[in-house]
Order: sequence, then C-alpha cells, then structure tokens
Amino acid sequence: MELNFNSVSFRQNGDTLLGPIDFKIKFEGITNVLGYNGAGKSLFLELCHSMIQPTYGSVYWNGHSARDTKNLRGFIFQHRVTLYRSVKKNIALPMQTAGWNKQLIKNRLEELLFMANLETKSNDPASTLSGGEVQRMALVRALATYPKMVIMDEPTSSLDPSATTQFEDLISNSANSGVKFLWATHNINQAKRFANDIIFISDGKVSEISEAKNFFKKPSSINAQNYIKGL
Amino acid sequence: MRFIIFLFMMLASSVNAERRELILSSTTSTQNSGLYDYILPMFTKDTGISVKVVAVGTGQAIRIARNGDADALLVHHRPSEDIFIKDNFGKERFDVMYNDFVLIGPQKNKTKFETLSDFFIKAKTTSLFPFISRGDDSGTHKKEIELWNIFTNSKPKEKWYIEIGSGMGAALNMASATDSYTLSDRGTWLSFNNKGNLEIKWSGDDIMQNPYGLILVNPAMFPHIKSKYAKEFANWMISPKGQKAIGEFKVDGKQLFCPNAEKEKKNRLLACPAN
Amino acid sequence: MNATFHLISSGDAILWDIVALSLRISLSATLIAAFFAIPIGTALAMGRFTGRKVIIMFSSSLMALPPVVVGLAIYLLLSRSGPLGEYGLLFTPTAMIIAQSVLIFPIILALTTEAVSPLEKNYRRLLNSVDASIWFRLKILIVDARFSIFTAVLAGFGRAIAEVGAVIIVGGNIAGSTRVMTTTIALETSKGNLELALALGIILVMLAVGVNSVMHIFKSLGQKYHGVLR
Repeated sequence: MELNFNSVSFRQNGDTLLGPIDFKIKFEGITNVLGYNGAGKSLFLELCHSMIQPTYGSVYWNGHSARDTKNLRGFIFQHRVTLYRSVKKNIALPMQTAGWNKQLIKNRLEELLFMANLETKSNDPASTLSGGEVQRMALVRALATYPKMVIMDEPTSSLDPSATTQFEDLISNSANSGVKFLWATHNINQAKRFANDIIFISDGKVSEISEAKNFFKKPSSINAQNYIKGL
Repeated sequence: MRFIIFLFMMLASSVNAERRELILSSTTSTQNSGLYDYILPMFTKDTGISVKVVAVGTGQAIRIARNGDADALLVHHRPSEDIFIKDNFGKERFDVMYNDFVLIGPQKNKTKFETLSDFFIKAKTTSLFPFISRGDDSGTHKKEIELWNIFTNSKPKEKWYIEIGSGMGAALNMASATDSYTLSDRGTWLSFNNKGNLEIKWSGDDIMQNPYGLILVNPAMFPHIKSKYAKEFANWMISPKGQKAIGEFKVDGKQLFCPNAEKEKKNRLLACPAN
Repeated sequence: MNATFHLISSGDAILWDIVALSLRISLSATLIAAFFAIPIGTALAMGRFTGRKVIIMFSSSLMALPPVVVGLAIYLLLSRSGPLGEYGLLFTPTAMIIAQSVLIFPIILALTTEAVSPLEKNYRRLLNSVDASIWFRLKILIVDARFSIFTAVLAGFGRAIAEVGAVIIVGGNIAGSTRVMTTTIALETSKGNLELALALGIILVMLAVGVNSVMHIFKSLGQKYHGVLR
C-alpha cells in the first residue's frame, strides 16, 4: 500500500496547521506515528484517512485519490466515540453504510464479537462498556468491512495496562492476517515492540520517515532525540 | 410514499364529492337566535339539501359572498344589500322576514326618557347613559349609528361611549358587567343566557324594525356557485311552509321573526303580533 | 358548575362530536407538519446546504405570526377569488388542517433542530470515518433522537389543539361541520352559555395536561436511553 502526500497543507482560520508536506511511503505491517502534542498527528491521520480534505494539495493511495478510496480504511478515535445504541449495532455501522445485506452483516458480526471477546455484551448499550471494551469494539468496528488499513489515533492512551494488553493482542492478530496499521501513540515502548516503520511529526511537518530500528538507534532530528529520551 | 398518497386522498375526497349542500353566509345575531337550528333541518328534510351556515359580522358576511365563497347571503342591512346587487354580485333578492332592535339597559338606572329621540339626545348631553357599541360594522352596529345620526347628527366621541369591535354577545356581556346601555337585536337578547341585571328599556318604534334580505350570489360572476340549490333554498324560504316555520320559531315562548315575503305580504296569512 | 360536569359525564353527543373533530383536525395537522418538519429540521442540524438560510428565515417569520394572520393568509389562498379557489376547500375541515399544519410547522422544525444538534455534533466524526451518506446520516439522527423529536411533535400538537384564530377564519365555525373546541368556547361565551364553554374548557385543559405529562415522560426516557442532556 503506497501513500503519497502531494504538496499537502491544511489551514484553518488563517493558520497553517499542517504542511506543506510531500512524501511517498510504502506501508509494511505496522507503522507508528510519533510526535509531541500539538505537532499535528491527529490532523495527519485524518488526512490520511480522508475524513478531512487538505486545503491545498492532494492525498493519493496506490495512485488513486484518497477521497475515492475511503472505504478501504478504518479509523479509531482516542476517546469513546460510539452511537447511542447497542454494541451489536455500533459494530454493524460500517457494514450498513457499505450496503451489506442483513445476512452478511449477521455472520460478520458473530466473527467480530468473538474476536473482541464481547459476545455476552452484544445487546448491551455501548455506553455501559468499560474503556477497554469500547476500544476493542471500535477496533472490530473498524475491521468490519475488511479494510486494507486501520488508522488509529492513540487508542490506548486512556486504558489501563490490562486493557492495553488485550487491545494490543487484537492488533497483533489482525496484523498477522494482513491488515496494515497506521498508529499514533505516545507509548515509546509500544512503538518499539510493534513498529515496522516510524513517521515522526514535528511542527506540522513530517520530520522523518524511517525503519523503526534505525529510528530508535539514531533519530535524525534533535526533536526526535529529545522525544525518545522523554524530554 | 404511502403516506403521501394517503394525504392526497384525504385532500381530494373533500374536494370533489358533488354533495347536495350550499353555503349560506349570514350574521352572528341571526345564527345565535337559534332560527337556523329550527328551520334548516326542515328544509333539508324536504329537499335533501344541507345548508352550511357561516355566521360572521354583516360586513364579513357580505365580503365572503363577494368573494364567491358562499352561494347565498342572508343579512339585514338594505343599503349594503342594494350595493351588492348593483355591483352585480347578487342575482336576485327576496324579502324574507324582519325582526326588531331593542334598547337594552341596566335595571338600576331609573333615569327616564319620553321617546327614543329623547334617549339619544339625553345620552349626548348628560352622560347618564353609558353606551356600548359593537363597532364592528354589523347590521346592528349600522342601525345604531343610523339612530345617533338621525337624532343627534353625529356618532358620540365621548368617554361614556365605548366601541368594542365585537359581536352582540360580547356587547351584552360588557353592558351587563359595566351597567351600560346597548342596542341589540331581539333574537340575540331573548336567547342570551347572561342577562344579569339588564332589561329592555325601549322597543316597538317603526325605525327599530330590522328587515332581512336573502340574496342569491350571481353565478355569472362565479361559475361554481351552486345556484340551483340556492334557488331551491330561496323558494322554500318564501313559500308558505317556510314562512310559517319562520313565524313559528319562538324563544322563551315569544315569536322572534315576522315573515314578510312578497306573496305573504299580499296574503297576510300569518299574523305578526306586536312585540 | 353542576351543569358543566353533567354535560361532560353524560356523554352529550354534540359535545363529544366537537371534541372528536378537534382531535381529528389537530392530529392530522400535526402529522402533516411533522412529516415535513422532522427531516428538514434534522437537515438543518446537519450543516450547510443551499437554501438553508432561506428556510430558517422563512420559518422564523412564520413562527412570529399570530394564528389569526396565518388564518387570514390561508383564507385568501383558498377563497374562490384566490389562487387555489377552484378546489373548493374553504370552510371545510381540510382547510383547517392546512391552516394548522402551516401554523405549527415552524415550531416542530425549530424544536427538532434543537433536539438533533447535540447528537449530530456527537456523531459527526464517527459518521465521517465510515463515509456515511447524507441519507444515512439523516436516518440515523432521526432514529437516535426519536424521543426528543417526539417531544417536539407533541409541542406542535399542543399548539394546534389550543388555537382558535386560524381555524375560525378558514373553517367558518359552521355548526356540525367545522366547529372545534376552541371556536365553540368562543361562540358559546359570546352567547352567554358559560356552562358549555366551561365544559369544553375543562376538557381542553385536561388534554393539555395529558400532552404535557406524556412529553415529560418521553423527555426522561430519552435521557435514560441516550444520556443526552437537554
């Protein structure tokens, strides 16, 4: 899967929040996105998904405009983002917008509920789920329509260690079956364990893209060095 | 989608059915007297035509007929009726009946007056007769203004003269509540249920007669007018049967309307006792 | 007073005919107004689209009009001398339904938008992330805000059943065919028949209390299921 940012920048209220950014990257496995708060990670991820459109420039996936290929990418938010409905109906959402028929949805739901270990809670309102359960639900929701890639914005930031581990297990399983992940995190340990590649965002720009092992050994910018050291 | 069809059918059903009915534009005082509740069912029984009465102030009743929203007009103000015919909105006019106006006042006000003229002049010069005027351009209101003009040359502007812009009932309610005088048609007065401390102070003069005219709205002006039904209604109203029904209508045991259709006037078959 | 309660309890036919007609007219008007106001109100909550400003302006102006003015306008439209005269709708219950629909449309519209807005804000990013179409968003917002929307519809009904200005002008207050509770109260009061007027007034008040109670129940049901604070 190849991602291409072509002179992309994002402006709001006269300020350039992100960009200009030009790069090409070929994704393998799990790619972690790192950077200080306010550097522009969330914006970057949303632009990659094409939930929002750049003010200038264009985003391309495999040579196609990102807008036309939205359905190939799932998204997970940092905080609880759910419908005021049951777990089942929440997970079914992307399948409904994609126009799947009832039987298909039903079958896929069974698999997904099992994957997320939420079978007993399928009819419960999503609002009654714990933090960890909600994020697992969000993950299988993002995986429902067999996307090629799932983009995640700090999904484990507000989870306790046990919930984090459960979530990470789910990621590993999915990654093993071929789904790619673009994953923003503050957890350096997590990135060290999972990342194939690192994208480092700094001051609204893509400061560095490199293989994980290289990045952690020798990051190319002072910012990145400080960041890894926890400064 | 089914809902839209349902909506449409609901609207359509009330549009087209060729029902045997006509719309009669008339006045609140006539309606409130109860006359229509008495004679209209008889007419419907004889002809199978139902009459829908829209009862509003005289001015509004005439306006409704001028818009072609009614098939016949029954009001009691000759000058307005004549204008209606002259302007070609009415095809034919019939005398149907008359009743009269009565001067109403509070029982406790014992101030005397010799004649009707005396009352109006005294009202203007002494402020002893606070007066409620309907002020709504109705037949009753127009008659009241006519009386002020004939006896005192002008409509009062003083504080004791209050114009309320409302119907007869509202005027009577207010007269009762404020111990004032007012001019009412006998029909509304007799059937009014909140007379309180009011009583009839004067009645019977010729000038207080209130003749009614039934006018058929001109189908040449409005092609959809149910002129056939309207004509049947007029025929019934001036027929001996209709005229008898009008004369038989009583409120509190008293006759209210005197039938006076052309033929009837000649025959003098039905007595109209002095009220 | 005794006569009043006797009228109510004896099931006087004329009285209950009037009540039945009032309900039929106001319920129909509420359904029609809601049919248009709910989707448009939800669309307004969803954001910009061509004609949005025009709709808001039109609706607010309509809401500022007193019922008599709305009645007069509809009368002029439906009069034989008016543009829609050929349909002969004046002085019929249909005309009254039309007038009341127009009257309460802006109320249901504004309350629906108010009910849906917080939910729309809540759902927007998620719906963006799954590329939901406009129709899908419309549907899901209306369904998930249904309790609050129902409250808006009830408010519209409450307004319709209690108004007199619009229906008296377009209906003509004709005995046996276009007389409803409010116009009868006005008429009977003017005739000094206070017992009948009072009896109808009591029924009207009981209806209003009933509607308000149901509104309360649905409001709290909505809060329970959605946790959306209003």
